[in-house]
Amino acid sequence: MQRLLIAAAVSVLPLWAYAARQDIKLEHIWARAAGPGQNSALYMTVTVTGSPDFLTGVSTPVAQSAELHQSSHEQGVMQMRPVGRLPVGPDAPLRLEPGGYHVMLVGLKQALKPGDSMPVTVTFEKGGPVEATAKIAPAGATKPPPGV
Amino acid sequence: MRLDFGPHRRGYRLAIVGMAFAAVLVIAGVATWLFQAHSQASGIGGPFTLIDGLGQQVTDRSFRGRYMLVYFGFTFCPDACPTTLNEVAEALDQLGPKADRVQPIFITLDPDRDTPAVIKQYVGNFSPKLIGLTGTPEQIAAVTKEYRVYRAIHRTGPGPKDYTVDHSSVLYLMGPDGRFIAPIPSESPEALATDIAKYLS
Repeated sequence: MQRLLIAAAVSVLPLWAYAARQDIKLEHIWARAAGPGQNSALYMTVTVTGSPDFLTGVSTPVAQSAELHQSSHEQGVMQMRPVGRLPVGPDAPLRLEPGGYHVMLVGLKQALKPGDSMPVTVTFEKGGPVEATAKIAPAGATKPPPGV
Repeated sequence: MRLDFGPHRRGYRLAIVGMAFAAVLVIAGVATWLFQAHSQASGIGGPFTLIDGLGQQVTDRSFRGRYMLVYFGFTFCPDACPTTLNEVAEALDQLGPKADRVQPIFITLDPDRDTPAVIKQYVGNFSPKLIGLTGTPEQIAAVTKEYRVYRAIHRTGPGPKDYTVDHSSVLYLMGPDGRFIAPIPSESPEALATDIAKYLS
């Protein structure tokens, strides 16, 4: 009986972990084309319907590392700064877009070509890791590729 | 009483010629001063010697007879710089055959990381027309000074390569004689194409 209970608990555990933040929605996930060894930028929109959370990191097998960054353009000067966690709430979607927040993909292990896809894991403080797929847009694209 | 203006008249004439001569000198002086002041005010750009993506030396003279559209940035920047370079590429596409008179040039502000091979691959992402230039730290320092580019290294970690480059973001349109014409705001490819077309006489 005890063994059965443990088995039951273990079997529902992953489901429960996933269900904890089933309200996290990732949309418009795309990255810019770039060659091997180069850097790229990854963008997405995150929405939650439940309690607020924080996006704490992103990983992908196609790059050496993936860092959260923010670009700003103030008084004619372009700046790029690493940022920590990024907040998302039910009333405040998190938008990663050109010219603002983005994930910098450092040192691509392979070429990213327009039309290709790449796997990404987006980690949230409470919601844990969320698996997703990003579409590749041309190098200087300023919006997601069609249909993304 | 008889007034004799004879010698006086000659004196007046001399005085008038003298004054006219002086006036010409003054006008010439003022014009020269104004011209110099104007040149200094718009003294953006100048001679440069840099290295292209094939490791070949190029100078500002290499582009005489064509308009230069110059942008400064660095390839390590994957967010802001590609946006501008893509707008340039799209604007030139929209200009059609007129664009043949314009040479878009990307000059790196990060010569340590942007070797000729790196910069060649980077500009190739945007347009086959775009030329990427790098150089020695001294050459890059000289050209950024001439173009009055703001550049500041911002460290992001302890490693030698942990840094980004804050920089002013301006598209410079230079004439076929190499002289600065105007900064071109990059708001959209359409606006960029319209602005460039305006200056292509």
